Amino acid sequence: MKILLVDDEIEILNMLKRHLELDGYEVHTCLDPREALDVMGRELINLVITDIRMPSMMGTELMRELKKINPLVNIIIMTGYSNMSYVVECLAQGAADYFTKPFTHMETLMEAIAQTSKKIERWQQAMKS
Amino acid sequence: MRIFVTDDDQMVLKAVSLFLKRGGHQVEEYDSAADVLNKLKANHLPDLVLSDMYMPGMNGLELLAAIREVYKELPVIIMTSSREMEVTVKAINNGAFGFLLKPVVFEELAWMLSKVAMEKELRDKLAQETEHLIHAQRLAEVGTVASGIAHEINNPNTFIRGNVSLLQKLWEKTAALLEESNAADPELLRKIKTDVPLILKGVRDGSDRITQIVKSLSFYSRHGKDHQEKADLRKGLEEAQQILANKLWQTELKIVDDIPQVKEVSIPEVHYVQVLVNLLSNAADACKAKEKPTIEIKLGMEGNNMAVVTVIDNGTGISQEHMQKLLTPFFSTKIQGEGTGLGLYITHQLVARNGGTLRYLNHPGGGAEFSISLPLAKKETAA
Repeated sequence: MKILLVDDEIEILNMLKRHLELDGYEVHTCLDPREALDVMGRELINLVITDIRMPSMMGTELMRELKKINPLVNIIIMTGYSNMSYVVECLAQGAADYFTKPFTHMETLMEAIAQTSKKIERWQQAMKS
Repeated sequence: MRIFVTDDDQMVLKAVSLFLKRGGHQVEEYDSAADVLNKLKANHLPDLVLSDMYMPGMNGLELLAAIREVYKELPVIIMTSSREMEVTVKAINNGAFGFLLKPVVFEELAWMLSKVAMEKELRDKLAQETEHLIHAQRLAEVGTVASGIAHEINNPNTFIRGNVSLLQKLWEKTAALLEESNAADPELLRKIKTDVPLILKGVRDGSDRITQIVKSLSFYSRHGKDHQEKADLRKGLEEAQQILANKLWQTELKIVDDIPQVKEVSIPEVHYVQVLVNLLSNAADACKAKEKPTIEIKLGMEGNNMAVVTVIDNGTGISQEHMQKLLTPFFSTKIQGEGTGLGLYITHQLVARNGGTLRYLNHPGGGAEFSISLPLAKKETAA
């Protein structure tokens, strides 16, 4: 499964990338959501994990653009503590899940990613047969 | 009151002084205006200066002018035997509190003293309120700054915490590898294997503490309107008790409900519950060392528009030195790691922001009493 990580904080990208690679995923990272759209056009990305508050583009807008490129892409959002109403808006627009920073239970996030990965495999199998 | 009396006529000086002392005042006698000024310069401020008009050297009006140059508010009363309107008008225009005609009629003096006392009380009250306002505003500013900082800290804390879990994961693999290898120094290997997990736990615990602080401060800055703006007095209390069930199970809770007809107060429900959780949690901490820890919760009214929730514990109470500092952010009397020092500060902010007040005092029967008053929700009236 190919995962795209989007966050304007490089250390968070690096940290998550290490976690995911340790579990065997292929990971692309982007500091800028606009760059994420380029990667999305180039690579077959199955899951995008993105921050929702970034300087150049808000999460909701990024989600809309990503879905234009691949309507079936899975999106998990990450957020600080504030603004639950914005989280709800993202979920309503089709985000699969959300996680609050800092990830005090990293296992839960990894679990959600593993579930998504299984789901995607199941879909791919079904489409082949 | 502390009163300075000055008159060059010893008879008048003694008589006035005696009358004042009998009235319970602290009196200092001076036979010249210059002596009064010297004493003032030495920073001994009285509550009132009672001065004769005509004295050798400096007269009463001159003394008044000298006092006004430095002390804008110190009341001065001029005693004069002159029936000249000119002098009295001048005295009043130059800022005298009043004047007394000689020979001094004591009833008149007593009446004037009561006016001075009343004015002093008002001035003190105003000063106190102003100070209170400034303090409250400063605390609110601290809140805004702190929640901004909290937000900034959250990102670095995210990668500290995330990297620690990663290290823990990698360490488990490393430890297994080390087990298989032939170590040259088994003693060192043993030390590494005990210490590394402890070190990682230390970093993780530290990061989790930062998370706690950030969480409480973000709660304060959250101003979304996505929550209900009124709270059910009793449901909120039940919810707070549920949240604290683990902490309260050994504590006896007595609930006294004196306002069964009132249901809702005007404060977002999440804030109301948070406030109660903070007060109950503090109360439980305060009395947990007692043989029979008891918390009394009272629901009552203050006037017709405010509901009051009072939490009384049977702990050791608040020490005098802590009284003033309780609402200051990051002030805590709990042992390190148990409190962030933000609970009461946030409680105060949340209550004040919703038009209520937080009060606390030591209970006569021992223990502390914290009470919050909150405006009733719009449709509620105390029947």
